[in-house]
Amino acid sequence: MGNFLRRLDRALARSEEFFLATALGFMALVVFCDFALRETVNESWVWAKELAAFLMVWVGFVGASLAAHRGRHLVLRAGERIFSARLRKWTSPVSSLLTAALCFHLAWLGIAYVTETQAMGERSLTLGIPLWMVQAVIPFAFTTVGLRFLGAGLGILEALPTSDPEGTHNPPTGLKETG
Amino acid sequence: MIAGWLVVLVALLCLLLGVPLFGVVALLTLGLIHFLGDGFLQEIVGDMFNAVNKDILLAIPFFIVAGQVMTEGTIALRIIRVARAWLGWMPAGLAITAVGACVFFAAISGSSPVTLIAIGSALFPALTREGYRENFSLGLLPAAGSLGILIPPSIPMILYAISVSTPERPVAVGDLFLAGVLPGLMIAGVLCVYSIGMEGLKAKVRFDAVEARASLKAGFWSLMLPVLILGSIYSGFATPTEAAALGVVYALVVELWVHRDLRIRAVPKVLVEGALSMGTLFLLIVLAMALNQFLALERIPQQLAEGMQSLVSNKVAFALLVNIFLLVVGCFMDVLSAILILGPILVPMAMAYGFDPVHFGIIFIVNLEIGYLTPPMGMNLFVASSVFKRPLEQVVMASLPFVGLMIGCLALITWLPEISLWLGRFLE
Repeated sequence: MGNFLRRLDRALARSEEFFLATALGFMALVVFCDFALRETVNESWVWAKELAAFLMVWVGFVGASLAAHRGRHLVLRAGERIFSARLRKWTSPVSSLLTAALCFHLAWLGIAYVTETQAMGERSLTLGIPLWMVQAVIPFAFTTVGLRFLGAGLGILEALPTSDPEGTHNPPTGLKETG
Repeated sequence: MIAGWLVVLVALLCLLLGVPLFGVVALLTLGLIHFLGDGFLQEIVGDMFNAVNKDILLAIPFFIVAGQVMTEGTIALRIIRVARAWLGWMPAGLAITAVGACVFFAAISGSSPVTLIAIGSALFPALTREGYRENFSLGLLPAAGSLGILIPPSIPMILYAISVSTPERPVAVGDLFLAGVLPGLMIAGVLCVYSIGMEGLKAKVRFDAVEARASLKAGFWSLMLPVLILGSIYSGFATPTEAAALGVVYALVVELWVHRDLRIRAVPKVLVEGALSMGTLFLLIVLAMALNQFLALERIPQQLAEGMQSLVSNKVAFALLVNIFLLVVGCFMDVLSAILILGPILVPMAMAYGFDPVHFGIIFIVNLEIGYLTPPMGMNLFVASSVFKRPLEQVVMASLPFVGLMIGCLALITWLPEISLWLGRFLE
């Protein structure tokens, strides 16, 4: 069971990585092309800014979910100096389970909010897409972040938070392919 | 009211237990709205969505990606070569080269620890080889590296602008970027003068016009990135977000096809890393913004400002208090969380004492920059200790004189708003 959940977690992380790379690249391209068109042929894509902002919402929340997988959420390390190693064996799972509970509560609130937006039929200004589609990422991300912290709290997954906001101590692998 | 303080107490306990910062802010937001507000928790989600559905937020991952693409490969060496050729002839030439290289690199990477790793790992052995005292180099490099967040483009400045702006009091990212330039150059200048005072008798290289030209040619494309970004913003061609996107495209073109330091199959990984850095911050941003929305609605920052004014009537005393408070905060909290959580509370207070929000932003950031050099949470101390392979205690002691210098600069920056605001007014 544990192995299956870990595999599931890794598969989700891989699809999140694929989505993030594609969406962030696309966002940069859309904003750049809109800027270049405006400055060269005096034309503008009116929908560009809205599309990029919506993609940003998705990239941010999905990125937060991947950050939980990689243990990159920020934490104050002061507790480590206060609690002994034996006590920390207890505090660490308790903090993960607490975080999971908070995330599930926010996910539940998110579902209620998104359902309400859907019922009201709100659409975006320039693209005309239903807003609930953009907002749906909020409960999705809080659910996956919550599940990852639940897994860490129960000792199934590793999702240890960090006090190193830029990952300086754990540089990403694969970036050193310089020629 | 008691329930409100209980919520704050439980949140502090969770912080110590090791609950991630976003969880602590979530608890604060949910608890305070439940007990002190209308209890309509669902609106938090709406506030979160409205807070991040903003154009300017895109600039953060774009700047991160542009910096990451550019800092792969040989750019640090190219910048060091330029700085060495143009500054190395001065007394304490290599130390000044290190400061100059950090300033240039900071303008490209926007991150203090990354600046320290890239420039420091190449220059620490060179400084030792040329006979500079080890403790001098161990203190100088983390201090110069910390300039990363003050020299534009700077991610903490974007977050400051987002978190403290209100419809009545907008704070423009472009104004903050400009305001950081002179204080950044001033701190760099002070570090250079101190280096000359301490190590001015060290051998220097003769100025070589041929090498100076050759180094500029080799470093040209890297040095053009900050020129392009800042130039496009201040000439009015591009918004900060567009300039950041321009930076991404430019950095990719230069590293893939001009320097050829990056392979195309490594690009997705750089993009994921940029999105991940954003993801690390994102929940904290959305939840802090929802909390700020609630606090503003309840006029809590204004009440705190009035309370503070009844206790401290003098602007100088307030400036002293807020600087001490932020220096302590900088010792325990990372820069971005401190800005998101404390910015919206402290800015109305500072404005009540007559501080300009842009000037106060620079004071805020210089304080937190010093926090990179102060234990127990000084990120640059850990990075220097691990990259230079020296005990943390030695790095802490070596950094002390530089912390003193930077506190002196902070006092000047606080006392003389013109250092921060003059350039913006001049260019207007």
